[in-house]
Amino acid sequence: MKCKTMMLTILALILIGAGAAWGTSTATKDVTLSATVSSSAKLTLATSTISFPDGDPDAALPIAATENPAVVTAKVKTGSASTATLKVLAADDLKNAAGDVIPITKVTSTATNTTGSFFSAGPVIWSKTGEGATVGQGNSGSYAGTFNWFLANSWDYATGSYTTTAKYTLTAP
Amino acid sequence: MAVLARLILGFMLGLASPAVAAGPSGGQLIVTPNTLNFRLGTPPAVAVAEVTVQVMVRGHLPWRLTVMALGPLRTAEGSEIPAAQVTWQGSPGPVFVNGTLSANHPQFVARGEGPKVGVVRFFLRNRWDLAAGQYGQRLLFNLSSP
Repeated sequence: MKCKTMMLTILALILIGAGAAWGTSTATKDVTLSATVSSSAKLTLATSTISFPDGDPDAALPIAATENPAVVTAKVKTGSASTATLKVLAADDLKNAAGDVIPITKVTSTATNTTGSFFSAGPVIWSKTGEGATVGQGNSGSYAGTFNWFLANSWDYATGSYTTTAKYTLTAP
Repeated sequence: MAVLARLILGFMLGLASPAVAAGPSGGQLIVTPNTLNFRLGTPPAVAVAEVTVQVMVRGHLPWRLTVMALGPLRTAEGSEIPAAQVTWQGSPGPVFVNGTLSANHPQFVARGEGPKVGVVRFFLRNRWDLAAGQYGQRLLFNLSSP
């Protein structure tokens, strides 16, 4: 009787063991997948010069730049809680060789969006102070559009050839 | 009786060993490294990360290997990259095949008989519309045998 009980116990153990060993027909392995996406920005503008021809100050409309319209693309990757911005900052007012000045605030720009919605329709008044004027903002994406620039004309301007420089800066925080 | 006792003890110790518990009929699945890290800078570059897969089974035992993502890649802020944007190339063929990850659906990676070693190279296509951040997810490799 004692022997029979022991044999049954052994058999039960073997069956339990066999179930544990052969009942598992799979093996799994966990792998952690991570991706680090860095902020980045890329800006292209079809022209690097903007020229305003002479015009009649009595004309109802401001003077349009000869380069209008110029294609612009802005590609940005930024954090989900952040906003990418495009700003334009003039180095100074428009000045001629004699030192006469046309305030930079007489220059404005408008934009149309052809891919996505990033560029400000405007008109945006240019600035030479702080970080400049904001001409576009948005989330991560690839955007395209066109810029148009205008100069408000006036009988007060002294004759001459006026110049300045301006910098467009695309920031993806 | 002593022999029987040793047999039982040996059998039970065998059950506790990792090699037996690891897979089909004593098979083992080893995937190294256990972390895949994609680094994405300026598009359109593709980020690459690879793992080496070792299938250790006895004799000519047939086996099948699948991989599954347990969801999209996610940041703590809630941004997501769909698992299907991760593809892979398996080698050597024809044991290891190419494929595309799927969230919660196992995808076929390899099939063979007996022990095999292969490399699985994962690719994540970079895009401008990805939000910057640190994404994470778990992959589950599954080795099975009929």
